[in-house]
Amino acid sequence: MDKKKTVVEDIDRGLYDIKNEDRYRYKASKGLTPQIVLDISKEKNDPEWMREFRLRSLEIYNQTSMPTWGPSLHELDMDDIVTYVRPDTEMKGKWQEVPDDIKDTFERLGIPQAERESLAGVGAQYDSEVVYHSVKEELVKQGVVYTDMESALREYEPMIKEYFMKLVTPNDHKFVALHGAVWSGGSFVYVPPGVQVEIPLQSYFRLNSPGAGQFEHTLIIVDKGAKLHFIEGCSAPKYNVTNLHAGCVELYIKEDASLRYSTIENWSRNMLNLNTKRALVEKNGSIEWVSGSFGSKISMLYPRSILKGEGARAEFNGVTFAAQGQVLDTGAAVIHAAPYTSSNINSRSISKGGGVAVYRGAVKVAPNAHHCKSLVSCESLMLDDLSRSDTLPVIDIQNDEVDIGHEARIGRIREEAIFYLMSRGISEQEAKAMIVRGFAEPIAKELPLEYAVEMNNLINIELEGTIG
Amino acid sequence: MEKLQKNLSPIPVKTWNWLGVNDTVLEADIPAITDYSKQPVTTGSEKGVTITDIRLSRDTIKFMEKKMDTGASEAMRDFVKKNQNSGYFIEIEEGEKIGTPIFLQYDLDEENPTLVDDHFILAHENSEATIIINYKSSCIQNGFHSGVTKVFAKKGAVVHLIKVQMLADQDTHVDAISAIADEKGQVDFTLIELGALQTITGCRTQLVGKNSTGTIHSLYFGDQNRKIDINYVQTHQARESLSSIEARGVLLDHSQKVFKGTLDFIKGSSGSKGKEEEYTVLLSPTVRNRSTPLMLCGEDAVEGQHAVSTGKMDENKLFYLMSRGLSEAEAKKLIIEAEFQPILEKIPVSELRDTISMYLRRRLNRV
Repeated sequence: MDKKKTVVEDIDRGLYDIKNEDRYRYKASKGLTPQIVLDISKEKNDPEWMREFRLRSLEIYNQTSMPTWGPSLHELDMDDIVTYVRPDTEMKGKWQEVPDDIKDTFERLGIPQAERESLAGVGAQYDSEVVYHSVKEELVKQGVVYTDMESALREYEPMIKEYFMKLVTPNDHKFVALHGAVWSGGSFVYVPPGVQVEIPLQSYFRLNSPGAGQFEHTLIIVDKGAKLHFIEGCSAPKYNVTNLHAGCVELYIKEDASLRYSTIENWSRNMLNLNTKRALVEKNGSIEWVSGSFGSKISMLYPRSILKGEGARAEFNGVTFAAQGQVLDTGAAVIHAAPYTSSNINSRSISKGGGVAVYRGAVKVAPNAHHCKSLVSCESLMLDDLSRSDTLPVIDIQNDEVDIGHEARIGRIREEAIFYLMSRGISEQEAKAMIVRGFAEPIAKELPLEYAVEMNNLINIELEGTIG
Repeated sequence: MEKLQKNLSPIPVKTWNWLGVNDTVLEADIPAITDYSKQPVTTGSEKGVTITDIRLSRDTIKFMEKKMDTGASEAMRDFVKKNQNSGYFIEIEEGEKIGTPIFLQYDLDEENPTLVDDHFILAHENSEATIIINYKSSCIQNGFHSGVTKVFAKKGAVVHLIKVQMLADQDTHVDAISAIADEKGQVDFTLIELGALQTITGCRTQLVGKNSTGTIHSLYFGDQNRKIDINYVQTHQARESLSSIEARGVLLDHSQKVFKGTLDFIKGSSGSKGKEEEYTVLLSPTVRNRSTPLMLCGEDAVEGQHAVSTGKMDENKLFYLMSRGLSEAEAKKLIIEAEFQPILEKIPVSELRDTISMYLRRRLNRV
């Protein structure tokens, strides 16, 4: 008799797939031309240097070829993508003033409730613009800045000019160049020296307009000895046309500062998610990434940490769930560029129903980065033989005073583990459920607030028969 | 010739270009290929073994060759075919277990500075043999070796192939092995890369038969300005196949190494197991050590694992030996020799084992 295979339900996207009427105040034409870039720049009232930056990025985009590695992006046709949609509202500081349909969407996603209960500040972006922003008064008094990027560009122009796309430059790859040309929305956070922001700040990005791209820019500077937890979430309803997300996140962590950056990427299944995230960590600073990749048709997402100062640390905890029709090419990269730096990468992936989960990683140790340590651990769970799971790590070491380890494992649940749990009085079904939950647990427990709902959907699997 | 110098040893799935591991560039110029006039086969004619010039056996092996994936670039395969100046078709008869290793000794010198060899080893059902191919060079500058060795282990056959490379410091070594193991067949490789200025070497095993096995034990030693590029791929195409890759190495001075090891579980290879381990000791602040341990999986009912560990020599071991009166250099030499020993033990010919040990010891004197 054939062994029954485990059935793991898709994540119920219900509330994420609710669409609003596509109302907008301004929508760029489809495609990508210098005129469209100039129109966006004009619409956003950019300073001169930003307009030039956009045009230069567009030139780089046109000169840069598509990646020669990774998932196929043949479906992406920039002539079909709208790069800028201004929603039919201005940015509001009071929740009551946000238009009803947009407000309802964010209410369903749980954003205002989370703000009331446990956040120090919230930004909500709808299509290409931030529609709501608030930050607690006591943080403002301490000098914490949390605002949308457009306001930041006006109010903190010298700082933006100093840091904007200096860590991720338009020359990096084609989709960052695209971002440089058409970026809009996103968040700016500055935490002054020594300020400890104990309650998280959160930005939520919602893409409603079909066939549109979202290119939000997040810039966070955590100054000396300061501390911040930043949460970012994204979602979009499903349309039958391809949507594109090419955001950019730049994180500057100064001496002795620490930043925890948590995010769940839960885009709809028609989305190409080509996001770029990078952190620059100075002496004794630390960056901690908590990352969940669930949605999108194709994701290419590899947060990179550059440990620039002595004693800097990076930690990455990521979980990827690839279901039918998805290619989730995710991972992490760490550059050890100073002595006594350390990193820890912990990646888990689950694939089912023909989904493809790829871990792509790199640990690079520069010649001067002596006495550094790194440990990479990748585990993959495949729930059927339709799916794929690939692990592609690279380690590059350029001095001898290092301690580097990498391990990866793939396989199905061991019979002995089930037997052991059953011998302790746990039913077979529950034993298997426990093992699968245990597999995702190290990352799940790091996830904040309403994202636990998404993670619960993942963990709350329906088990029947055996895994594998 | 230009084509051969790029993309020589690609990994099965590409990754970021900035890491420089997707493929390999041959840095030396390729010299004009002259005759190799020596007789490399040094063993007598064993019962059950036929060794013939491969050029006379092309028609016999043509069909089998088509199934084989060398992993080397198309340009390299064409180059070897076109320029081949030595090579043998080694055939082991059905059911024969060959006790004495079949030994091929290649020695580059002033009169024979270039070698392009092409070998085909065919082990018929339930046969077993050990083949040793040793490359060295004496008194020459800029020797050049490029070659392809193909191994076909039929049902129940076992092939042990040992390749030892001790070329001179300025030589170039480009080598590719491809192997197929049929049902219950076993291909077992011991690959020792010690010499040459640039080494580009690869081994690709296709486990096409149920219960087939592929193992690779690899040893490398980099010092001075040596560049070593290793690319091993174990492809599980059949059910309940087993594979393992174990690589150990030491890097000194300004040497550089790229190790690429892939376990590839093709859909349908259920019940298969693969294991890969790489351990590198770094002994100089100016070395460069890159590792790319890939695991590709299209089948759920498999077990695969890989581990890479890189670092300084174990300080506890060093301390212990030094507390017993050994100097630091002597202690280091001892630890490295002990690391290498399990792999050297796999060489069944004591003279060759001793030659390698002497060669290594001489080089380790620089530690």
